[in-house]
Amino acid sequence: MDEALVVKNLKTQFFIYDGVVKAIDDVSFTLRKGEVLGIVGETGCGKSVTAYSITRLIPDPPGRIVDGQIMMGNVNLLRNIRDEAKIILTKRPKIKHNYRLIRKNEYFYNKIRGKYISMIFQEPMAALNPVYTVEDQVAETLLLHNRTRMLKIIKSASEHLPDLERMKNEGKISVGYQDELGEELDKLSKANRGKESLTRHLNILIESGRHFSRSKEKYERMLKRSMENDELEDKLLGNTTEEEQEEIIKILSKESKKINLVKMSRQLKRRTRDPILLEARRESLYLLESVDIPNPYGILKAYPHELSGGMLQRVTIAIALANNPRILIADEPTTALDVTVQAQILQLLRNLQKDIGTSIILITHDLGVIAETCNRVAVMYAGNIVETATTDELYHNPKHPYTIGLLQSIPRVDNPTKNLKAIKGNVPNLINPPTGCRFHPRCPFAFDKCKVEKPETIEVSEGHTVACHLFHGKEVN
Amino acid sequence: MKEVLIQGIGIRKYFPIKGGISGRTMGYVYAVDDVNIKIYKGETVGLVGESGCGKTTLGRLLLDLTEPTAGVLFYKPDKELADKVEELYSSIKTNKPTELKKKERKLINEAKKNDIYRNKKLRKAFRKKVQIVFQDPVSSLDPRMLVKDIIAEPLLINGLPEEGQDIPGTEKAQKRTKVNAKEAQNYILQSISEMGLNEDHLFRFPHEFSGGQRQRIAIARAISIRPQFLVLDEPTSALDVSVQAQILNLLKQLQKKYGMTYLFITHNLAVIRAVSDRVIVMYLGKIVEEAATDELFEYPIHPYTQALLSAIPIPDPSRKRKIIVLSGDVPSPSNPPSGCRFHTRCRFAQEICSQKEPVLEEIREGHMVACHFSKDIAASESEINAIKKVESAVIDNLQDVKSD
Repeated sequence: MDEALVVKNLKTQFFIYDGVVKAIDDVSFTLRKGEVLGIVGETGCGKSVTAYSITRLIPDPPGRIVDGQIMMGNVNLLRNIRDEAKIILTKRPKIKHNYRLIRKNEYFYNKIRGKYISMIFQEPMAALNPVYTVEDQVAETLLLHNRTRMLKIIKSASEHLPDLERMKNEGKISVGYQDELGEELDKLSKANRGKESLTRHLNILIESGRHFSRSKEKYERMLKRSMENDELEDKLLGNTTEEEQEEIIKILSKESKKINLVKMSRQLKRRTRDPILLEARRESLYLLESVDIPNPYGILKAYPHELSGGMLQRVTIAIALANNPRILIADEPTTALDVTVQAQILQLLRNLQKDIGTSIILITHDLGVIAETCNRVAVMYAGNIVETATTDELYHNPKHPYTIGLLQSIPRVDNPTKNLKAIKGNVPNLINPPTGCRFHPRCPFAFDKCKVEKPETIEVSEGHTVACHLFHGKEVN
Repeated sequence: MKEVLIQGIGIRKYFPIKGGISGRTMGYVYAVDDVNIKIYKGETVGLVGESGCGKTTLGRLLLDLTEPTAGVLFYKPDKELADKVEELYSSIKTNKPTELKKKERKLINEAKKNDIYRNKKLRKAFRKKVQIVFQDPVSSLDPRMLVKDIIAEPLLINGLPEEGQDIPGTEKAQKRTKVNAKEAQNYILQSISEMGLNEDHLFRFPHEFSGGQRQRIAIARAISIRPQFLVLDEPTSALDVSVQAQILNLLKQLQKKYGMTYLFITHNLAVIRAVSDRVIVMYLGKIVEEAATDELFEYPIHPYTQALLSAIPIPDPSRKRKIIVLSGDVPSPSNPPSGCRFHTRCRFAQEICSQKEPVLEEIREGHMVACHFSKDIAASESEINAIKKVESAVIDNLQDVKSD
């Protein structure tokens, strides 16, 4: 199977007044194409920091990715992470930032984030901007990353205006085209959301087509430019050498620098008759329909505070999936929701994953959610991944003492035991983590070696890796 | 016969929605609407429901922490009196008489005497017998008090209960002895070791502790006056699973030792199953189902309970279960649906559901359900279960044959 994302030796640290918090220490894992990888662990074990490191959203200061590689295809997303800042380790560590390089990398990452890697956050209320309508926020992602497709659709619509008019009057889609517009119409007829919704879509398509033909030259130029841009991105993710990559990234970050987000959002708020804005609005409507929001047309005009938690989480999912990302990171998407709503959201995620085929990293502390949605699981403890296995293997044949403890400490509905087995003690402070294996102070099987030596990750059976000294001897036998 | 510790009849709490410049009342949030509840001595009652269904408000009402809009609350009631009051209440509700008979008026006066909401003397004594542990251990402990002071404060104010029981249905309460500072010290030392903390923790401030430890301190404070009744309002929802197990085990030990009665409020059904003896399910301010824990989890009857139970993710990948996905959200409690409040999301809903409000009826022994079709559902469910049992027996037999 192909890999969608490979994380190698990732190290993220927070430099605070009390010392250095080693939040992630040498984390490596791979995400395969089309799979759902679960990451479990207690609070403060570095699950969310891993997610934020991959999307590079760690607040700096105080946090920094110190070392590591994140490979998406052929490209190392952290290629010059060590040049970004120099850390002088004295009693009070000092960081010297290279702000020029950081800004450049940030411009490049703006191209990746939201298009290739997108994220669903834990608190949907905090993830959305309270002063913009839902429509504006969904359209924003599309306008940033999906211009080529949208322009192509409008162009095609402007050429097929009479056909579209006829379809609108008939109330069904009858003509197929061999381009983006055809694909879009296919999607609409497959979704089959009734006549009312179809008329709305066709109306917007016709209107934007008309506007397109009025100032054709301007939009043709725009299309050409964004197509060039897309070609570059495709080239970057294809087989290129490092020098070529460097060259392309330079151009891309220059392009990204030109985008004026403030101007764009102002444009959105004014609801100008720009065909791209119209098309983005139509696409947002389609996205809200696809995440099963009742009355999507009404919700488009709503502000986030008018919606309930479950609805908001659907909107954030729509935003995350707007550009068919390769990798979707869901950081505790259902923790803030009730069980019945959680069931709805998880079902939605599963269905969308089936349709689009994205690889998902699902971060949660709920082992039940993992069992129901994931193919593979990584268990984290105090900044390390201690065990990785397929879901079946992990639940039926857990190896690491921490995993065993975690599985025994959850109260279960299907199999009630009146005595829960708790793991003694608490999660350690990561400024001064325990020496050797970080779990040894709480481990019932700990022996002398555990206190001194950090266990290496070994493969106990195919696809099942454990970082524990207990299994090192067995491998030899 | 089990002794009733706390009984509430017809408890309601409507929160006014204030609006406009003059702050006039625009409407009400019907947080708890006409709830009858009985809690027996020594048991753990689980109270479940989605957020916003009024479970916390009901918990606070049972402690008299929130002023009720209507209702009667008895502590260790005289059984005869309580039954009569309940009967009278339901008859008034259904018949709506314009005038009360003399006998009924007399009964109401007697009830008022024993009602904790109305009798100030009783209320004072009642407060010494009940305690609460809040959801968020960060905000429920005073950040400027040392742990030893936090635990000692209720003890120094209220003292400890003396030996001997209080007589039910009278104003005469159990006597309490005062505790001086020195005695309190010994007492705290004992209680802190009981909680799994040690002596040097006593001279620290709450912010120096982790979530689990803070919750232990909050529990220590709550049980310091040896309450009869303890309301646990989501005590573990802010904690990690491994710490949650520690706290749940601790609570169980304490209950055994001091014979307390718990009302365990939570939205986590798995926790309820592990802890409680009896479960009450709430939806939009009403009790929809009430049964013994095993009974409820194995034979849920109300469609809402069924959906709620099916939605819990089970940590076992090989178990495939059928999820009943409820469409839409919980309706707003300020404008609840007419008739059965669940009918907007119910898969069995019919015309009658939107017109008539169902009453809480006993279907099996100790199993109360508020649904128009509860009997039909119960019958069909038991059939299905019987079929399932036969099926699984057959499969087991087949497997035995294979292995032979």
